[in-house]
Amino acid sequence: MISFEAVHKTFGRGATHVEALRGVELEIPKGQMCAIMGPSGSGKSTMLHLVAGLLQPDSGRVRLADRELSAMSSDDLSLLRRREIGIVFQFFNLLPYLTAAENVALPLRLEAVAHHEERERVAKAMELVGMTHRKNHPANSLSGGEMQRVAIARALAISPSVVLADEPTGNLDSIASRQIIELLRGLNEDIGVTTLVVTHDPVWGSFCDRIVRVSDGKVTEDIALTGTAAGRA
Amino acid sequence: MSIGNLRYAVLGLIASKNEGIHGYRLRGECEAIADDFWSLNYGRLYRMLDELEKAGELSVEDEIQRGRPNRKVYRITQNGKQNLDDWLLAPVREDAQPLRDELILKLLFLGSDDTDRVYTMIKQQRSIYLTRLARITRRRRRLEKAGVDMRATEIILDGAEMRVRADLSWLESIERRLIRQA
Repeated sequence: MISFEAVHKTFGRGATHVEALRGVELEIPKGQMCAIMGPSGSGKSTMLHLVAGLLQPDSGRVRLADRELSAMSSDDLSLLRRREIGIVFQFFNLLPYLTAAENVALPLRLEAVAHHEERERVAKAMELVGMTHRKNHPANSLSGGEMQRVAIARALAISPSVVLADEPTGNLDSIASRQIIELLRGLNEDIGVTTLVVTHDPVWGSFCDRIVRVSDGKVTEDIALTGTAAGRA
Repeated sequence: MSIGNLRYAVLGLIASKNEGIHGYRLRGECEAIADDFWSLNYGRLYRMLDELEKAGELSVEDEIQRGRPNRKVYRITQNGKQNLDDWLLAPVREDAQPLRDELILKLLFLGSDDTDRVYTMIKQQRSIYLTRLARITRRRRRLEKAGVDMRATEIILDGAEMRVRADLSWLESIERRLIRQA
């Protein structure tokens, strides 16, 4: 489970400061796929970065499973990120000259996973995203949709308990976008990984169990789409 | 869906089955393409079948079933095919429906002092639209997974999805206007 309790986050100081989050309260049960939507600058990416441990709140608590992220050291947060959290970005963030499979293997190398196990896990992740046939191609020779599939495979290679996707379709055409969101939804259903997706597009939001709308740094709407646990703000 | 269009939807579905189709299966086919988009009343569907039969646009045959009551199998007649073709080739006549009349009226009549109520109404309406969009998405995924021929269904689903998108954008523009005015 992911939870936000009275979370505040401000960037900058003095006249130029921006209050990104102003008392966010939210609980996301294990296994749920939840979309965070809202206008630009509403604080949705900040929420994702807090769950990833890339940012710390100024006050309030962010929890992942039973751990309070705000109480963890940066070393522990790095470990948590490497072992439990798969992150998918809008611009893929692949190393262009490595092959698709080498990109997927990177997080496993950081964890010094044994070579034979690395091979197995990379093969499985590539299979899950339907990219086995492209595994030996350099990342910079792949299409946008294929690059995002590889990025998802990289996120899955560590068998994360949570996948965080920040505008995963923001840089793709509508056909590739639909395939990517369908892939994320399928993985959520098949392997039960809790998935948090930041998106602008209501159609991609509609693939989720729930849509949370954020506005001016607060949760303003909480809409259950599949009858799983979600109340109204 | 208007009675006039229901007539041609039924004729079109039956015309696509050379071997004919029995009432129960026709109902299922109607559901597969209709669901959230047409509110289909089964009584109306069966009355429509009777009317089409009387008008000579459908033929009906009893299919004998062992151990179960006979069932009616419907096929389109030459007359029905002709009417369907005429209708298919005629330009669309139905006037575009105004967006959500009821909400517009309420937003018009709620004064500028009622901003909170307007926001609440926008949120409620957005929730309705997003829930509808999620139903369309679930339906599309279910049909794709079931391997249904999506040609006709996809057009209907795309249209429904685009309408909800337009409704959501419209709500957002009202919201932005309210924020600017505040």
